[in-house]
Amino acid sequence: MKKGVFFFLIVSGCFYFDVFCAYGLDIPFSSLTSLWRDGNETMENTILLTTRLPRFFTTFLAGSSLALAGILIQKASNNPLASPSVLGINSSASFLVSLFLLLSPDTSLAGVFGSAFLGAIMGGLFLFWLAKWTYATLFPERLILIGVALGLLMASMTQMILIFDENNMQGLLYWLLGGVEGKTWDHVRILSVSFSLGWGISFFLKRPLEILKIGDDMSSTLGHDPKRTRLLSFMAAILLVAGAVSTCGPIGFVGLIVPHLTQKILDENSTIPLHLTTLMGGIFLVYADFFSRLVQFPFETPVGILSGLIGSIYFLFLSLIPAKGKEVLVT
Amino acid sequence: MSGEKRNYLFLLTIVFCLTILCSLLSLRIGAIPLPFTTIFSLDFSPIQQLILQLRLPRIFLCWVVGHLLAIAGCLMQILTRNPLGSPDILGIHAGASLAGILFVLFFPSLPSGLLPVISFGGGLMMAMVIFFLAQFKKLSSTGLALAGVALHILCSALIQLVIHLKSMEIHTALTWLAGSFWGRTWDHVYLSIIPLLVVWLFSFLGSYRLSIFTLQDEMIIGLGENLKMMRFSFFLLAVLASGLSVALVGPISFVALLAPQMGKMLAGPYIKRILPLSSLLGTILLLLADTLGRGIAPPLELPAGLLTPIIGVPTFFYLLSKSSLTLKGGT
Repeated sequence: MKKGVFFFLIVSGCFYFDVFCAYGLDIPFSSLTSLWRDGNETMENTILLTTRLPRFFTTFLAGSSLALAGILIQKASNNPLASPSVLGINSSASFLVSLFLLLSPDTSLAGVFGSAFLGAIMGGLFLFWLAKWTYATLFPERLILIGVALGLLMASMTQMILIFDENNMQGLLYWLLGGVEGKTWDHVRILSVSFSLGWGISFFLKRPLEILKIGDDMSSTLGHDPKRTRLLSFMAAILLVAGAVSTCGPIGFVGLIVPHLTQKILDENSTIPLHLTTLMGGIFLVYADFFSRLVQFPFETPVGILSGLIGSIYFLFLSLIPAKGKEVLVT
Repeated sequence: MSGEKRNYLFLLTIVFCLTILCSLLSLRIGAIPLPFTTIFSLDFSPIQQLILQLRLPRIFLCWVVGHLLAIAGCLMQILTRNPLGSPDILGIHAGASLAGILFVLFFPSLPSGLLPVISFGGGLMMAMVIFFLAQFKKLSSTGLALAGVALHILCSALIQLVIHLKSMEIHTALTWLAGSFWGRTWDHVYLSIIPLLVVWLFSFLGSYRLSIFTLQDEMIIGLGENLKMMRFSFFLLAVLASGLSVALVGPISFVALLAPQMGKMLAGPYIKRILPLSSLLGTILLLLADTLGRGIAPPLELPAGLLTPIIGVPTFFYLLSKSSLTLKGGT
């Protein structure tokens, strides 16, 4: 219960930071209450409704999606280093988006989402085919190696597109860094669909993933097919990543780091914190977004850069702590 | 001579012939395609001059850099006991790139010839940081690899930040960052011959000692070897090799990561056989990438570093799907 209150405070805190004192123009807290009364009549309310609230929701949902995808993949493959960005799913989604933007002049959100989704599925199928992903616990190294190779391939193909497509290069380059500015309610709608689907699937996965921890054999004895568990969590992760990448660009490291961060604040014997991780991912990205706006105010800095910076420093810190009795990271 | 060894020698001969073939192709293809008859008629015509001044040094450099990268990757993968433990993943290339980009940004008045030296220094410094962190914190091989990955992510996030903040002044550094053989002359080749010989000699002479690293640390100490000294000297050798390659042609990713793995798949787990085979494979990769980069859209030249993953990753996947190896326990 105490924990619940604590998280409520953090969430409302980041909500306040992001929506109200988001630099530039301070909006008093009271305008949120007047939002119900006045609609978008005053300037503050218009700003809230058209830029700040959609931005907040997009950031929060994108962070949540990536973190949930990260913990699903980590638990299903039993490899703490695995995450959508490490396995190249982010890069394949962004490659297909770049290809789509190169070939078609239509830049509608639905098209971008479709191509990101297709790209994520493509990357996922590759991993399935080559890494025998359903048996991933047997070959964790093989999975990571193939994932990194896939990511490298996709990244350099994206760069090729950048070279050949000089007109869109600046915009695409910016999109590839991962930013959340200028988001509208359309982005929120797309994200909330993909997020709620992925999140819904994760409700069914909590128990099977928990049982998977004690091994494939035990899992099938207890009536949960490990292959089906992995397939399902992978599909959920693909859906979540596609939503996040199509709206905010390939923001890395959230999926890798937030699950570790969450598990650090819980005690070791607790169950897999799927929902807490989801919440923490949103909070993490909203704060990262807030600080990324301070870097060169009044210009925007893509949040992907800042989350990478924070994430890598934390990851370095994590890797320097010797494992407490158990193997923290398996590679 | 046992059958296995004969098979290996046969394989090595084939790969060597392939490398020669690729070198000849590389001479032929470019903005001005040359038929083989012109290449081999030693009449010192202007076209001969073209070959001698522009294309031949690049081919030699491909050989040099291919060997350096493959050997560096091999050594580091063995030392970290991790197939991902190559200099481009462990942050040495990223450190070199960061140093190079900061140099271009803050000392634009200094001669650009200093860029390789500075980047070599950056790579060396990053390697030392990784190594001393590992020594000071008493990290295991896995810990060493993880600290390296964290530093790599940190450096690339910083590079992204710099590129984002100073996007106007950074164009010279950007082409260098991709890794290219463009404009390399005989001077580069002369400069690299002696270090290459040193790296070659030491790694081949040390291949017997290197194979000890497939055992556990305790076992190595139990055999009476000076573990720390051995690890430090091989690490230094690998860092020198990869740093030199960055200084020569910029940070080319992928070759150091996957050439040793391909060598291992073809030659089996014998380090003495993997070293020469993967060196040749790395050379082939670079030659093909450089040739294709010149040949795809002349007179536009694509950097070789961009094409190495595009050629290499599918090959790697093909080999992987054919091989029954599980890639356990590093190279």
